[in-house]
Amino acid sequence: MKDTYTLWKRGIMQAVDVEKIMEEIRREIEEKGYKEEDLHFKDIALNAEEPSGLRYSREDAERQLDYLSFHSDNPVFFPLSGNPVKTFVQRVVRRFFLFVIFPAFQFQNKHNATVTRFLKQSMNYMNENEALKERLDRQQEQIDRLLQEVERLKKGQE
Amino acid sequence: MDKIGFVIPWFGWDIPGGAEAELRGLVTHLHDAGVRLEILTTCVKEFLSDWSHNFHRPGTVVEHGITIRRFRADSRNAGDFAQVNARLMGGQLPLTAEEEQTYVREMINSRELCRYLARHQQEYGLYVFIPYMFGTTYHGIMQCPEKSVLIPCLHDESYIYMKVFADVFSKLRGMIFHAYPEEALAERVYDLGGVKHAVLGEGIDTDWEGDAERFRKKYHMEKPYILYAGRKDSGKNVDQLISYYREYLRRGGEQLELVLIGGGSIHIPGNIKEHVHDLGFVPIQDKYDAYAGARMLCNPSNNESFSLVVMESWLAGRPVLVSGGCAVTRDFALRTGGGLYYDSYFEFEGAVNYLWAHPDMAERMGECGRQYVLEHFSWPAIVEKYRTFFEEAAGENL
Repeated sequence: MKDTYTLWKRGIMQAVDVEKIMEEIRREIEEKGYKEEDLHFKDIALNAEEPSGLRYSREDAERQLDYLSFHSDNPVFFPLSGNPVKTFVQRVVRRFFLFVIFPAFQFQNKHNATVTRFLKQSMNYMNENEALKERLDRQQEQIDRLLQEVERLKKGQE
Repeated sequence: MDKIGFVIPWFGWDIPGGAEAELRGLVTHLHDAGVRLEILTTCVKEFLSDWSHNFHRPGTVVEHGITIRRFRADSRNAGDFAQVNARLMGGQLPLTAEEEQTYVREMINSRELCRYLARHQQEYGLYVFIPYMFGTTYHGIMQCPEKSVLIPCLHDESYIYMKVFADVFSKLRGMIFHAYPEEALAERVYDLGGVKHAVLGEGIDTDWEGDAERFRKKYHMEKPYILYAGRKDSGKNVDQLISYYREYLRRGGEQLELVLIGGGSIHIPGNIKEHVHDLGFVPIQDKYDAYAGARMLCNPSNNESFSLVVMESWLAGRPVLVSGGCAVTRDFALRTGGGLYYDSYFEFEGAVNYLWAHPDMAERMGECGRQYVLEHFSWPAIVEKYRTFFEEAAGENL
């Protein structure tokens, strides 16, 4: 069997000029006159066989969970800045309505935190299941190897 | 050399995360090579946990021969953090000085950990922090910047542009990068004039072989194939790969099938299903065999910081085809000569056809990549490089 590693080490194999190859490819594209209009792309998510938005994406799920983790606790009021007179008036108005708004925010934040914790549990469950599946696949692989070995030994005894 | 303290926000032997996995591999191999080290971390379980919840008991344990010191995480104002973080996630820069202080203050932090770093710095040759964006890194470095080395794991994202990081990182003893584009990014954003820095890469297991014939027999792969290995979701640009492959077939490229291995799911259009083999998770040896049997590995992702699958494909002696939009994998392909890249569909088609039509060149590319990985990223090479860097960084302290 040709030992290309040894050939490389002996300097027989030349270094590969990737940019030179890419220039060749681009030249060929230009010579053949390929244009974007020749292409027939369709968005895979909009394929009629599957309604969009139902594809599972773990990365999207983790990103959304991160967002929920950071945003589940909403402040009642955001910091005020700008014209001092205007911010004073805004502060006074805010204090008037605090007794109504604050309990509602507390209730909502508590609800948000509970939902987020549940979703984290769901994600943990998914992770555990994936890990379990991987373990099962590995064990199946071992079982297949052992069965092959048993067959081999049986044939040896016959 | 005095012991090295590796500082990370959370630590566990099976928690998810790239930086977490990298640290596990690095400390394990450094420890096996006789380097004295400890892990200094908080009691928080992992990235997706509540950062105020101390899951682990505080204190010191020894696991797999490695000392792990855990410190209580501080309570934090998640609401204040969320406001600032939302602006960062939305790319709304610049932040005000007050907002940046809110970020680093309400991030995951541990005053206990920082006190330990300050009081015990004479016992450690270096503190090595990973990754860059967390409070344990920011406040930890401030305890002893002249003894601090950072493995930042940088991406071109809003967070790296915060002034608080620029101020602290310019005072570091050292910085270690995974790839040259990451180093270039850091040099562009931070003042590293007084910081010892190097591109050292990540360690990868090299003690395996792939058997192409075994894969073909087991999975009944009669035709040559392009391989994709990794999670199947839009964040990895797999839908673009499916689109490109469908167009490739439509334009007459039927000599190559497409094999997908890894978790997640993606819709395969009905008119190409017979050419696409979605194998899902496969046993690890089957993955190695799949690499060995592929005409090429395609990594369409634009967001790689290193790309283990590219390295593994090279170890199996096969070339790679990567997205030109990913600075890291493109740089590796150019630097090693181990593959081609594409910036458009036509370049994708041209590169696939080139590798198909030039099998000797494809084999040479695979070997170039393999040599590069063995020389730079095998664990013995990584241990040697990291040990030399740490010794030089610590030596300059004396």
